[in-house]
Amino acid sequence: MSGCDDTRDDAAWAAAPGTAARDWEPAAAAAELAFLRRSGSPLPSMPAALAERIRRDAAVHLPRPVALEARRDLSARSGPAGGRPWRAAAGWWAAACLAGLLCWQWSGVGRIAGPPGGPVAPKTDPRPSLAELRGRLLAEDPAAVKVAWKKAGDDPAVVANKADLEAADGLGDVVWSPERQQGFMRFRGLAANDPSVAQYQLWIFDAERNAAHPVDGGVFDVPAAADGEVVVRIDPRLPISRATAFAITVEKPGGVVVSSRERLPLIAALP
Amino acid sequence: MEDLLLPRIAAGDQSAVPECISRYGTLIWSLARRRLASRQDAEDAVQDVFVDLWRSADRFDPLVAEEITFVAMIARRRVIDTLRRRTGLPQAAVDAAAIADVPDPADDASVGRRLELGDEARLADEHLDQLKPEEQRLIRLSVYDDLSHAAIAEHTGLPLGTVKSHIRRGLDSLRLKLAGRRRAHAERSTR
Repeated sequence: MSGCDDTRDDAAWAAAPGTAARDWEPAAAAAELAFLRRSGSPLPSMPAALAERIRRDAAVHLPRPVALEARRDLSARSGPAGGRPWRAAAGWWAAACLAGLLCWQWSGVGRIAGPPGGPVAPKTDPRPSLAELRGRLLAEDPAAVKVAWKKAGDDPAVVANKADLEAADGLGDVVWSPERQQGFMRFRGLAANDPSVAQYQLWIFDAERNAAHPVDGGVFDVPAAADGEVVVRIDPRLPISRATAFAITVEKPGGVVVSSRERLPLIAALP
Repeated sequence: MEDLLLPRIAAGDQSAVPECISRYGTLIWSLARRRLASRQDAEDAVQDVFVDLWRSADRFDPLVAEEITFVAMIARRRVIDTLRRRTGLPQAAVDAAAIADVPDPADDASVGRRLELGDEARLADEHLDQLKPEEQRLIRLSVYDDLSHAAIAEHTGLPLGTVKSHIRRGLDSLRLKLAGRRRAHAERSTR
């Protein structure tokens, strides 16, 4: 596929039975390598300082050796890193402010007694479901907090019914353990997404970081088959010193470095 | 064949990081510098490519692409995305004007070694050689010079439909050739 895989160009690929634009990417990459090979000229070396930066930063992005389950939980972990200056910092400030405004309303902060129903993993799976792990985290870590999702706007991604919207924790919640740097998100009434079109992306606001630079929490999907509740593990890219808010945006597949925040359906702010 | 690095990355093996940077850094840097006029943009894009690699290493499947082809694919995707954002183009209408100011990578202060670009690059080179010169040129304008199909049509004076069908046919035949090679390789491996 060319570097110009816009919709016009995609139409050409769609005409080939059984192929999609991404099917051509390996061939396009191999062709580019072939043209590079033909050029015959030596390639420029990467600056040593850049190589060192990449090496130094790799630790926070590399999968954890125990991350097999995490990869199973989050359908796609290819989102780019945070940490680049945000071009639209003002928007995030607005989101953070909204989170602050929401804080006072919340009365649903607390603990739940046991694991919620509706595990995502099949019951035949011997490993604990995410819902069970979420329940354990709440039960075992007294410092873990639970906050409810609130609608951040009239985004069509929120398809909850009226009763859910009016109930405390009706849209689900976030459970976060600062000590373990782990957490789980529970969603009700969030629309299923087509991962080839768009994915949900989590952003975590940290009091120790500029609010314009929320930490990329990765992308995830809500499957069409999910009936009722969906639980997603939080696996942040960077250590979170003191989480102040969690926000969900709708982004292109794989996520983005800089969110335009055009679609920001949910936000949850810690008191 | 060199040892695969991405499966080690996917397993969280930190010791594979410097090897990966050493093996693919020059290629990724070259792919970025070919497209991005600003050195800072190129550095940002290359960092993003490596982050993508660390995070998507578990998606690498040697039956789908050679490791270096997978790396080039990830790099192309991210660098082209950066180019689109920097040029402010709404979609992928990257055209000749957008890349006109890109310096020749050979102008960079330090010039690296000639890289071994892999068996698939060699096979692709041989395959491209067998195509008609016009098809080769169109594929080059598309995958190497990043021109949109519309820009290629304008540049060459060929009808848009002809441009699309030539590029599609050429890349499709290459896709099938590469798939055949992988199948044969997999069969040999299982014997």
